[in-house]
Amino acid sequence: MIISLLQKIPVLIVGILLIVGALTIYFRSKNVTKAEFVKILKATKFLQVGILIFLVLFTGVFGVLNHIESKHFVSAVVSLNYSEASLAQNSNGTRYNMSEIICDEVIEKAIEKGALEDVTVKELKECLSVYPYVQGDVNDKANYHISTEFVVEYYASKHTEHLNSENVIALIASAYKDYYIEKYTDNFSLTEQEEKPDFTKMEYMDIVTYFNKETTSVLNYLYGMAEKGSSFVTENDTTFNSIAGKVFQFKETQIEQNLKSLILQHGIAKDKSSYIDRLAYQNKNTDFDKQKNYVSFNLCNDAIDMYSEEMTRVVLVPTWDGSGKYYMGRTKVGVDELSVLATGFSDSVASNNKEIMDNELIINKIKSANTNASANAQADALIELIDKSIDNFTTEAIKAGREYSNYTMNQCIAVSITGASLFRELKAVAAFALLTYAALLLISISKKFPKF
Amino acid sequence: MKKNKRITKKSVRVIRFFIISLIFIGIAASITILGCNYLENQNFKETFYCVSSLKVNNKIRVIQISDLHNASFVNDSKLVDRIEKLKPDVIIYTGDMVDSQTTSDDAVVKLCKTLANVAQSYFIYGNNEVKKNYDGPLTQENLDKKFGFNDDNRDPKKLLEMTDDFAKNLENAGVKVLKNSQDTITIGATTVDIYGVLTSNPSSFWSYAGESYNKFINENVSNLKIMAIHEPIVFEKYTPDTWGDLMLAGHTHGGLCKIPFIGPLYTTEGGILPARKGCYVYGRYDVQGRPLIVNSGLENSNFFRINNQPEIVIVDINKF
Repeated sequence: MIISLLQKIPVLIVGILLIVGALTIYFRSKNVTKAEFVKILKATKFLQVGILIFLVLFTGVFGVLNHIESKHFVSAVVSLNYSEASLAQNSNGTRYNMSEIICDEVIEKAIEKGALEDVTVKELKECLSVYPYVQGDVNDKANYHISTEFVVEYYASKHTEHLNSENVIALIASAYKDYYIEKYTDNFSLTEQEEKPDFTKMEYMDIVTYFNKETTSVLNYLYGMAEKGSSFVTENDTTFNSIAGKVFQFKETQIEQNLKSLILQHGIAKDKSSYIDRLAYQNKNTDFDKQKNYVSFNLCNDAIDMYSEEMTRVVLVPTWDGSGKYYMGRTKVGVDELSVLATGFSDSVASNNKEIMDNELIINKIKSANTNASANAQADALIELIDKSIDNFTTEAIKAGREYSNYTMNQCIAVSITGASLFRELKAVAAFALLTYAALLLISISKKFPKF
Repeated sequence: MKKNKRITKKSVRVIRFFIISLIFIGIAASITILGCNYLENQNFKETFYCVSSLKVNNKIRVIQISDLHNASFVNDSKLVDRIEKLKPDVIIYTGDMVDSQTTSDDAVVKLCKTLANVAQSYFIYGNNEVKKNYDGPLTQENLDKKFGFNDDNRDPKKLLEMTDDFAKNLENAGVKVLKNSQDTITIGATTVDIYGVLTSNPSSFWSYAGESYNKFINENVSNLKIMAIHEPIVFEKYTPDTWGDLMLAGHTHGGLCKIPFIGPLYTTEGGILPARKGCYVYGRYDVQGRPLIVNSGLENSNFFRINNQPEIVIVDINKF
């Protein structure tokens, strides 16, 4: 603050000298003729030792003060480089808010990151301002503009002048990037992290179901990521689709073919009677569903039969397309809706049948099988292997996801800082020197004019 | 003719006036700049960098100190105080902390000892430490001559078997000295391999550090790899697939004087205007897709170090 005032004093003095000199010449020139005026000007020595010494000293003082003062102001441009930014959204689709760049949380993080001393969040916040780089006009459609670039300005106050301005703005930018990524980007979790079940206490077929669920969740994650970045290639030269292909292949061969067929082939179960009871109970429930679906299916067919022939005809309605051309549109009639429902119920009956038959197959296999310790051991080993492989696939999928996020989000927020520039300082010093020289010269010339 | 003569005389006077004015303005500007820089160089600045690596599971902060040359900051309590407050996970000294002209290294060892209590510290020799402790630059020619090696019988271990008092003092102070060797530490949930180069001269890098460097790069690839070296010239001369996840270097003193629009003025290896020749002089560079940070160092006794404040570098390594 004091420096800011001190820096203005030399400028003020030079300004006053310039005005005083010019006014003195103006008023005193009335006491001389035009020829005398020209003579005085011609006789003026432009290089005077006194002026030059004063010029050097004065410019030196100004230069030092200007140098210190120029360090107090820094600005940065924060650019949002992700596709949703052009819709004024965060990367997760929520509304973007530029004031978050200098929100309390970000400033607090910046203070902590830079170990900034003797400054509070409030004091630092007062020195910061943020506004869009290009201001649009919401009232004029032609000038409507969604800014993806924001200027953050920092002007040190008396509470913050001890801090390095460039560091402050760099820390704010870095803290904002951390804040943004934590709040708005992927957290890389595939599913709700549940505790792994104890396989020793689970039935073999339940383990198969669990593995299928796990691999499906990895596959869904990978397909989701592939939709976002189908052409993205990881550091290991894989894509989301190629990893998904591997997982799918693994699911089909290791889980469905190897593990499931091993269990079915040998009819192995940990507690045969209770597992058979459970499957039988499941079959009973499924059979109820099957009967319900079957009745619904028949009901739909009966309703279709009740329609008169005229009602089942296709109904054409005149309408027009997007370009205004007329065409005849086919509308759905009641029969269509009922036949769709009937197909659905028929599919459900088939699915219920399959489930019942599958369970019966398992029950029969278990009933007919003798205790086979080696098959159990083989299944246990396979389960361990599959579990490890699924873990590896999960890690690989998350790694690829992270890599993709890194690829897309690394430059999601780019910051360019404009700090004190030596060239700008030199320009200011040179301008001040010229102004000082002109002022001193005017004062010197003004003394040569007679007072009366 | 008379008129022409008068015009010529006037022109000469005007030109002379402008030249003298410019000289005076130049003097004023130079005094200002040198004065300001002298004052500025009495303090160090903190330069923050953010780098990202997928290998990082938690945020890691590395503080790099370089090229102190036994300068005034060696006894500056502010340096220690700031480093303590910045809470680094690792401190890496990238060489030339001592000056080959000075006789005692005690102040540097004392500083390193104090900072070793703040965070795990690693020291990499620069050309000044090498000159003091190995009697000259570690070029391949010098080393081969010293050990009687040729291309067929070269044994890099011989060089590493050499010990010196400075290294011993540092080790006693709790600082690990990395001479063509690496150390592995765990920071939070991240395992970090730090490799320090002794033979940073391009001629001897591959022949004397190649084996250990390849081991560092190719083993435990999931660990975060930080490569610390004094002279960044190796990165200019060679282009392997990767140098690591983060490279730290010093030596250049930021090119001594940074001229606006033109760049750094001078380095020993790059000569005049080294940045224009593609040399790594100051700041952050992208080398094979990974960040290289060249520290301008803490040396502040050079009067012509202009627009180039002494610095310590703080590198925050994040997932992004």
